[in-house]
Amino acid sequence: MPALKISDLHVSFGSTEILRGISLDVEPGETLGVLGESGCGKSLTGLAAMRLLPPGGTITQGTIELQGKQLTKISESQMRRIRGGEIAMVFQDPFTCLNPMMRIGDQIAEAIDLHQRVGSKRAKTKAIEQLESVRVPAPESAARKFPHQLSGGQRQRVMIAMAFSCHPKVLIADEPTTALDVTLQAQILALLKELQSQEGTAVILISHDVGVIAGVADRIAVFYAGKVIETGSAGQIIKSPAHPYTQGLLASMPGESAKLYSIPGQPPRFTELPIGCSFAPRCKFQFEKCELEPGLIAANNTLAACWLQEGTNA
Amino acid sequence: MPEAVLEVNDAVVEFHVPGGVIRAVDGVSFQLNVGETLAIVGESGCGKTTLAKAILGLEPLKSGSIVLRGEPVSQNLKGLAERVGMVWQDPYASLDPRWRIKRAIEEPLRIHHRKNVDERLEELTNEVGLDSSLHNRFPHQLSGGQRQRVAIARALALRPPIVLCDEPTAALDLSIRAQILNLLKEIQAKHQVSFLYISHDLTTVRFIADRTIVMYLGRIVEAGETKQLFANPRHPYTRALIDSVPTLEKIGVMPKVLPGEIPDPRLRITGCRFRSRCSNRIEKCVTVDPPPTSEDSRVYFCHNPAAKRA
Repeated sequence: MPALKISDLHVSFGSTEILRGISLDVEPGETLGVLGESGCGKSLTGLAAMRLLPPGGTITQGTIELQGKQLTKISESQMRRIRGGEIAMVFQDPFTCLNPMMRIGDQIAEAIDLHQRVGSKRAKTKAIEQLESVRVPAPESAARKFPHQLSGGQRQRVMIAMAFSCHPKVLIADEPTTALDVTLQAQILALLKELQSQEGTAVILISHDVGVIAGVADRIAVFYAGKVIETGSAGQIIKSPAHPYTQGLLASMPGESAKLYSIPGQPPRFTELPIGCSFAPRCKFQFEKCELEPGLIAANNTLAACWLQEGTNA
Repeated sequence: MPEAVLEVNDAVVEFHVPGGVIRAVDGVSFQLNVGETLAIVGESGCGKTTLAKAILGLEPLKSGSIVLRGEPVSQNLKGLAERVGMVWQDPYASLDPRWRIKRAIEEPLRIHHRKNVDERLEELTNEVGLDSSLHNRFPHQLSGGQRQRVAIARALALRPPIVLCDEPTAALDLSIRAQILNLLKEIQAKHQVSFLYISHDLTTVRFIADRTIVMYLGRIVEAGETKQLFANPRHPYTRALIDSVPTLEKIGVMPKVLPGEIPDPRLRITGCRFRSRCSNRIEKCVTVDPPPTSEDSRVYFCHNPAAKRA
């Protein structure tokens, strides 16, 4: 059974639909990479799964199942017991996520006590253990520090310590290394992998960095304009992408050639989505059928929302 | 000899902070040649942005000199805009939100009393691939890529011989980043402008820079032709940086980890500054500051360099 299963999720802000039928799932111990550019709905999907949609956003259709539990149906007070416990999230910028007025150790202990009811004293010891497990140097003195007294890399370690403190079944990591240098990025990714394999956590890693996703993910879902337009194993998506958008995205990675490929135009606005395939106006393979919206079609090695795939596997 | 537009000689920039003095830039020397792109890479806190500010005359030098086309920067700050253009990381922050695009691009021309402003405006917008119908828009009405094009047009307005780019693509998506990088290359080919390209994104640097300088704790640790440097890094830090970059060739392979972080810059470290994180450390590194070693077109500062790659 998948640890988290999102089916046909639709999220709207007023009359504008942003997520237009997202389906994805992740197994225990597995890493699903969610790849896409700004505004494609990848972060919103993470927030929806945490039931943390920004004001005005509502789930209009679809289900979110956490280990068989329907998250869309439960009350906010029930959700509060699950959020940070069974399902946790790590964000891009640890500085804005930590309380600047509260000592690191107290922040982690608060989460532990809230979910595990171990009492504040025991929670504090556990918080220090947790800091040790993410290899923050001198964990006892670090626990007494405030967020601004730590470096960016240390702060992200604290966020990860906090996220793993309640042994979540599912961890959503939204661009966890985007604000960091490459060297720290490698450290944090390695740490995430290590904790994941110890705990058997299902991880959804949201990133716009194809390289990061290629290194870490087992499977990949590519997002475009609020839809999953291609999904498959990491190797297949990177080596033989079927959707023209995925192909374009991979080709725009700087390599040996003197000129980079760049996808013409820009992603559409959600208020003026083209009829049919939303990538069609930027696609060099566009043909009549693209006026109809394609669903995911089995391509050679992946599933791609593109009419070109029709018949390739017949 | 290639002609230098910018010469930095033994530049030192210091900051007084509680608990001591930080030498953010500690004896850096290099030259930028006409029509080339020189990248400066390193982790946050290595001094690359401070160096850029010193080149713009925004940070005073403690010692050393920065000479721009034969003239020290500190002596002619007013005319600096005509000599160095600037493209920042976030065009949303660097453009005035209340100014229309036209006004933002025209401003440097007006301040410097240039003639034929309208013509030049057309020329610039064409050059950066913007439609002139956007002239009356405000920054928030443009996409991230378009805003960065506006910032580039503004930087080029006075035809400066040097454009300083500080992480110009860091805030952009992959497909837009490719457009901007291509644009920078086109502009360079056309105008022979020199780019000083400051970035921590090695993938981008590898694509755009002719030569690369690697900095660590205020010092240059290795410098040379980009191709050579990436193919065969000799300084252990350069190697660690390159190995920690995730690439598409490594599917399911995690990037290599360089342990530790940049040490507190207030500590005056004797010997090699990288030694606390270095796997090639030998005894000498503790006491003796590594001298420069030249090899082919590159120079590195290390007592015990990484083995050459085949």
